[in-house]
Amino acid sequence: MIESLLLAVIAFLAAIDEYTFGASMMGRPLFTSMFVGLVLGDLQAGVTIGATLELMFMGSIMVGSATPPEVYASSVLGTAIAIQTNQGVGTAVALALPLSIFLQMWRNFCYAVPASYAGKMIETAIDNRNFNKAKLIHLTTMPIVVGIPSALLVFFATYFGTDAINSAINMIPEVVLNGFDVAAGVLSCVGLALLIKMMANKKLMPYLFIGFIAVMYLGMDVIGVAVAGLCFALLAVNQMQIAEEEEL
Amino acid sequence: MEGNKQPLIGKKEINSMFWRSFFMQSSWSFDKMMAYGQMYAIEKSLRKIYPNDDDYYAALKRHCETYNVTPHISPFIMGISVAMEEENAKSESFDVSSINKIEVGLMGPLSGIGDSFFWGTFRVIAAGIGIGFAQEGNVLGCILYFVLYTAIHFIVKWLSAKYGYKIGTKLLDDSEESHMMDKLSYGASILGLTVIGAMIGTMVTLSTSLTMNFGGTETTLQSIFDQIFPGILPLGATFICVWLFNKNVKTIYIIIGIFVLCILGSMCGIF
Repeated sequence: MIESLLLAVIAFLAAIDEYTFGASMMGRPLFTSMFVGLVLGDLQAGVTIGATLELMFMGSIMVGSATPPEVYASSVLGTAIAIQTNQGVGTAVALALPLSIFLQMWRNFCYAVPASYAGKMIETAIDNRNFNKAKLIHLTTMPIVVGIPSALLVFFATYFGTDAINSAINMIPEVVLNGFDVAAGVLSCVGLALLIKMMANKKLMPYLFIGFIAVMYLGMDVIGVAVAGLCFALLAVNQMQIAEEEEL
Repeated sequence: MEGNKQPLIGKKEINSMFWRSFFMQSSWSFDKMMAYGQMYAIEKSLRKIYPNDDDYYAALKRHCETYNVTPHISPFIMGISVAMEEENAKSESFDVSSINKIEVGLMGPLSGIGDSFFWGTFRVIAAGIGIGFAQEGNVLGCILYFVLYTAIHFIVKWLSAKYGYKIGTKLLDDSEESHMMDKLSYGASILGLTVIGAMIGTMVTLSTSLTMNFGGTETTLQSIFDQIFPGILPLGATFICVWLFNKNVKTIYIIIGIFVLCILGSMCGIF
């Protein structure tokens, strides 16, 4: 019981690392496995398993708004199961994987609906001139909607066993999972659309298409496009200067 | 205001910016991204710049616009924004909309560099060193990984907090020449839009798995799109959102609509 509670605390802290600790990478398996090992009384096993998990999840990072499989809470669970059952990392990962996919889906849902709603509440608080309320909502959104559910899942999985949770997760139909994946890919367009609306200046829209085409046709990356954009900006600004001088 | 002027934003505000920037993504959402994290982090500076409640809350509201950057270097743009807010408080003719425009212009290039350094290169190096020890069951591996990564994380974040405001104020001091702010804001809009265009191509992913039958040969619709206009689906989705926003459709309905369409689409085999 106490072990499960402690593991849930580790999972909670790991899950909110990206949000409230400035993505300090403390939540990654290489670091959390140390604490899982300590809690379960086998530090060395924990560390070894953590190294294996870290290698497996090396490519799984959050860049821009692409969401990789959830690494944090599911790694805590994976390490814990591997130590408890002594069955090796492979089995542990196989058991933790459904949880990882489910938590990723949950995160995407949180970014879309609860966090968006929290944003509305923050803006209302600012309109009502209540900064402290806005601050409170901002600071607690992700810990509540992502941190606590992740911790609860780890608690139940280590206390009651993973079977119950996995069979529940496996009941989610494939099309829904797939639909969530597709939605996670598309949803960033909402934020970008808000930016386009904010920058709205019809005369400047061709630059947006130049940036898009540079990526799609020329295969440039964002840094390259940014440098090109800077050149366009400088050229345009110089042009502007000439126009002013002519007026004089 | 002339002579040896003391910068308005001192150590206290910069420190607050640094520590609060750790909570940058605490309310990350698909529509506003890190906007409120940025607002929270620079709040102390805004309070100092605008002692008057009206201006202060107007400034907070201004920083509720969509915003996203690598969290590790976020204080750099915050410093520049604060310098612009300070200029706004001082001069009547300052165009407030340029603050958001310059933020957006900067966030793309800086995230490009920051993401590839912190998430890509540096994390992999730190983890690589740590894994070497940890595979043999040596706890040192975990600690080394954490210390290495955190050291660089803190140093870079601290430097960006320290220099963002300085560079911002210097830039604005130099810009007292006529129309400099106009030019800066115009240039930032161009840079911003170009980068947003690139981000539509890299951040938004949407493809169809529909197949078509042309005289007995099976072709996927996506391969036809790829030949004629690659990325038409992400671009189309983005502009449908812009259109909906212009029709004043609420963000939350757009988001729920996307979920529903994606699940329905994957049921019908479109995605």
